Amino acid sequence: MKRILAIILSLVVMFTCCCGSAFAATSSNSKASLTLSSYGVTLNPSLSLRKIDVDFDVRATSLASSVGIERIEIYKANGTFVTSTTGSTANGLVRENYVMHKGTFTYTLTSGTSYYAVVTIFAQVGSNYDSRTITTSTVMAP
Amino acid sequence: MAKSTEKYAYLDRLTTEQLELLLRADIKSPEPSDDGVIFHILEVIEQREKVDPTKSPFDVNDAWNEFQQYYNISEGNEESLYAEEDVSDTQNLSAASELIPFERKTKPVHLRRLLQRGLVAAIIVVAIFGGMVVAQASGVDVFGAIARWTEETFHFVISPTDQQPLPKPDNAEFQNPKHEEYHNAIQAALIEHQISADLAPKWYPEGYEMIPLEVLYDNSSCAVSVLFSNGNNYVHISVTRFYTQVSFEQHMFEKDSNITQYTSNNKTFYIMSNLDSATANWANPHTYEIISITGPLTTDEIKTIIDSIGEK
Repeated sequence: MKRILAIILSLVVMFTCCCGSAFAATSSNSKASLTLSSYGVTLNPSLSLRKIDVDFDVRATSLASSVGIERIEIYKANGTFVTSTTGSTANGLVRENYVMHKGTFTYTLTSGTSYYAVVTIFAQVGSNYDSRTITTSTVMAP
Repeated sequence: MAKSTEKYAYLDRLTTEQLELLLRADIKSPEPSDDGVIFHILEVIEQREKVDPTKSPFDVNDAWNEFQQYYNISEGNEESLYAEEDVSDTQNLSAASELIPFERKTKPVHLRRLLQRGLVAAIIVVAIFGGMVVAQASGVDVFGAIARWTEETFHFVISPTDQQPLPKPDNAEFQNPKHEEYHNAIQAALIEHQISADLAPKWYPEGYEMIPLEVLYDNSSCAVSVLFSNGNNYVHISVTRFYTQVSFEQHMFEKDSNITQYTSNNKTFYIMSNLDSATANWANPHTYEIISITGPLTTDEIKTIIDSIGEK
């Protein structure tokens, strides 16, 4: 009888732990975005030697006064900061008065070295502004 | 201790040989042992040996003769150490059962084993289910579908499950001449940029005018972007073809809570809300194409647009 009770108790504890882990796996801050609809940023080795491409696609929920990349930071695989770029219409990272912006920003780095990027994307719709920070996977410069 | 002594008092009346017979019968019996009986028998035998060491059951000469007779034999096919085992087993068991005046209080074997196996099965099921719950919450689609989402974001992934090829739609009549114009413009852009032409909708929300479409590129994808406006609000329809699996899977959609699925013309769209906006997405895992419909649309409007995509 004691053994049966112990087993039943173990089952209950196990199930509780699993459900607890499931709740923890989902974000405690259930939120969406007033201005951002969807986005994607990837870091890819370029076809040219020593070059790495930051490919981005940022979409707003409606017509945006500005949308695109707020900032790109490049790091070596070991976390050493390399360089950064602030987005603007001049460097092609920001677009004004449209619903989305898409493009590729290329860096010239050291061949054979691995890098990753920390990219902040944003969209401004009317008086509302929102941003997200994305860390890419690590790629090696060709 | 006193209670057990009283309970097994009947064993004290048996001879040592009878007690040994009981032990042997218990070993051979398939039923679970009554440990109390066994321990008491061993106690009684031990006490008797202490009282009269000369009456030890272990006679050296007898033991040697028994060894020579039963154990010191060459191994052979199907030879048993106990020549009269089959017959004597039955005799021992029946003799033992006669010596025990009280009915053995053991649970039915089949019920006990069934309970044990049931508990093991229950543990396995709970463990598997718990793992599935954790995996699903972590974004892993344990059921093989291509959509994955958490509380905050949604994205498509490539599933090993192959989808059936989609049937080519026949041209349907347009409800509005402008709808045909929009459809043809979008379809032409899709064809020009090698994106599936049947993804151009044939129905658009009333009151919305199309702003000239754009085709946008990055090195990982190409998107035909179509913006519609009614003067106050905007509806955005985009058809994107990703060139790599990574870029396809890395595209994230913002969402707040629930996702509903709506299937039409063999396409399952995922409809989700993002505060004031709604988005409906469909993806083709073979071509890495995603169509998105975003705007302040009612569910019926979104579904009508979806119904017109690939409509026969």
